[in-house]
Amino acid sequence: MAGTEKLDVLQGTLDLLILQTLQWGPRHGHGIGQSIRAKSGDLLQVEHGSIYPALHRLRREGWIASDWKVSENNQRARYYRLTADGRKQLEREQNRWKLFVKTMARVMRPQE
Amino acid sequence: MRWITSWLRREREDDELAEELRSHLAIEARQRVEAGEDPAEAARAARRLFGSPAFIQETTRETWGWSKLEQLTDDLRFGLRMLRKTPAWTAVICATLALGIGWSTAIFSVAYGVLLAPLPYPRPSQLMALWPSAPKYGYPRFNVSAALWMHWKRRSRLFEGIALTRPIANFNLTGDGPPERLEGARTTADLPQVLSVTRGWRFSATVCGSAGSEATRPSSAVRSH
Repeated sequence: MAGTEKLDVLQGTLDLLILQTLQWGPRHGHGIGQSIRAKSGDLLQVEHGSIYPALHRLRREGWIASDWKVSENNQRARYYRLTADGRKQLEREQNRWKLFVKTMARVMRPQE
Repeated sequence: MRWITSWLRREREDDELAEELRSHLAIEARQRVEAGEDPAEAARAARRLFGSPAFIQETTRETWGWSKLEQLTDDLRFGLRMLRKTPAWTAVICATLALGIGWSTAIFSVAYGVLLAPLPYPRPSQLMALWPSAPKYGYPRFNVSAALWMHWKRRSRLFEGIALTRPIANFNLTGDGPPERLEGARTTADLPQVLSVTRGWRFSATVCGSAGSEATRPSSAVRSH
């Protein structure tokens, strides 16, 4: 790990990351965190202290739902999946994120 | 209604969250073992990775919205326990509070009656007390003479009426029937008019005529009071 730069998850983007991760099928909370880390090439580290509150908040909003299932290695775990509302929310957040990235890029561009 | 079910469900949610954390710990440990780590070392590493489960549960609970209320009841319970631990000190505090509150209440009721409560007459805010004073000669306040009273009444444009009264005192009423002890004050005959309480009160002004401030004696209507 030494020498590798770590990035903090930008405030407000954790919801998007979780919804994005869930669009390819149900996962348990730990799997979501691992998946985000793996996809980011180990650059993004989602703290456990923030992923659980986020999952509960998303569930309360009705964007994800959860069931208890037995995992691949025989461990009971709570699996989260995207709801129909969640899919719409994901699309909204994706658009917002694209706009954000575009806007940031425009602002940061060196003046000609 | 949603908050009722959410309140009833919160203990189950708590248990589920704890189980969720436990299961994730187990999954992480299992993955490490499968990757070739020593089981004890893997469990330790998983715990290190997750950090404090209590902290995670705490922050997650906060999203349920009950934590403020639960913290309040916790604080209350803690306060009561501390009070019970030091009964002497608690007694001193309670006594201080009780005395303080009692005294303020008592003093306020006196202050209200004497200073703040409106006088029991119509338009009490228009009533004023007048007295002559000669501070230069060392008399901040002295009695009104009959001449001064008549002068005031003639010349004053500020007041609808001016009546005189002496301090309230006890009187003996004798003559008609058994003698009686009355509480009253000697006043000019127009006092009821000035105070606008003329109903049932009537003094004859004839006694007043030459006597000025040496006013009058209540008629039988007053006696029955």
